[in-house]
Amino acid sequence: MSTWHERLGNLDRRLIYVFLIVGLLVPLIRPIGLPLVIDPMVRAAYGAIDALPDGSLVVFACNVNPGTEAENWPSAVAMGSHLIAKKCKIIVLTLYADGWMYADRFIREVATPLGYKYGQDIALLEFKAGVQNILAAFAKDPVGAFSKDYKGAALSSLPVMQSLKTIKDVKMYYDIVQLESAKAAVAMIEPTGVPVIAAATAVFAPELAPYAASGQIKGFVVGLAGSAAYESLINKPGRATAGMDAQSIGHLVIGVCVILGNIAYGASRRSGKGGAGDVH
Amino acid sequence: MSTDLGVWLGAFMTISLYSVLFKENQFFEAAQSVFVGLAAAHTLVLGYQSIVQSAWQPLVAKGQLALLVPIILGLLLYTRFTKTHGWLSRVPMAFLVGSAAGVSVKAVLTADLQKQIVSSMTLKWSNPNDFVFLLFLLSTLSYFLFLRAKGAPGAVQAGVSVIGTWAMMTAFGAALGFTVMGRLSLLIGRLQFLFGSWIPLIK
Repeated sequence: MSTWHERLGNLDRRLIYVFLIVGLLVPLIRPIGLPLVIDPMVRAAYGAIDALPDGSLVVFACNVNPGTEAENWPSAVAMGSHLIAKKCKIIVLTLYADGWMYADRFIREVATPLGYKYGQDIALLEFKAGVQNILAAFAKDPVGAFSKDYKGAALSSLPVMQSLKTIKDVKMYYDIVQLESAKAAVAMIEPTGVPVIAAATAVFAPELAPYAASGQIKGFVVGLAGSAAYESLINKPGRATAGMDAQSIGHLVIGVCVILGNIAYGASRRSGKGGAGDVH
Repeated sequence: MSTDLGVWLGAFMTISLYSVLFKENQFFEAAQSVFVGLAAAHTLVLGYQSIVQSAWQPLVAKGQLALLVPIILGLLLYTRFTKTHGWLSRVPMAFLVGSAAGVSVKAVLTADLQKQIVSSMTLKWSNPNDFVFLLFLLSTLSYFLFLRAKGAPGAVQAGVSVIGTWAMMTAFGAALGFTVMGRLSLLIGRLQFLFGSWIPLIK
């Protein structure tokens, strides 16, 4: 006859998955409206964009990919909408091969409905491989580093590119982080005096924090929570805000599971039968 | 329910991939293989297009003979598959490593080392967090000092190292917490797709 702590410790993991999915799904279908805490770094990123003079030239490195879409696409929409509200001229580039799909989607689904004209207000540069090398070349000679847009048109034929002569013309570099793109931006773009802001998946938060503490990154938006906070700051609740109740309940479910697991483990050790769920 | 075939396909692939949580099954294996195959094919096509557009076309159409150098260096990489000429692949590899180091060493040293050290040494003492930061910084560094002093200084050093251990555990815990948060966000994204685009239960 097994004890309660043995049964709890050896609970079928699939039951935990069911609890988690139900915990996430219910608040998605029926939102609770839990309060949202705005991180100072999100506020700093918002402040950096908000302080830009209207019509500033901004480079947007749209490195979203299918694996990071859930976390990064909402921030691309929210921060991109803010840039558009500031009437910024946006040069979009992508440092990874799979980023152009989302860069193209940003132009079609976000910029164009807000009145931006391709070529005049926004342009998407061709993809070139080599993250650090490309940014190094762009920092040194932004006109020479790329010659075509993603459709193959000469950049010299696009009005939005006429205001770009040197890197000093760029008033902000906004990077959606993928792998080493933030490190490359901090190493290659920030030393030129162009302020760098970033949006990243939650996994990258510990890597970005030292750069923010040293001022090399002016602000960053992390994960779904950061995107939801940004949506709240620009007063445009979107997909991230909709997911935040689920995120909180999900964390609660995981927290409860961790506590129950530890109680079962502790009780098993005290009873002298070893930890429930121990690997023998 | 959605009438879009693409949405149905996306839903099928999503459910197939998550079905491994229940147990290993053929739907998961098939979906996994499709994703790996798609990613490999996508990368191959992009690589091919990149070579054609940035090397072959300018060489043939515009006569930019200098592009022969990177093309030949690129081809030399494949000599590693032969036993007799494998040594030739070291030439482009040396060029790749050397050029990457040349481009990035100074910039990375400045960004990741110099500016971080300066930032750590110029704390604003009005913020209590800076005291915690300094304590954790010094104690973590002391953990990696493998030379131990003798007597009382050694005992102090050992005590400080323990604080360093806790500092690192705190950092690892925060990193794990962010990872859990990230994975949950991915699951939420998929649920929003399944119950928003496929079965419209989410308004």
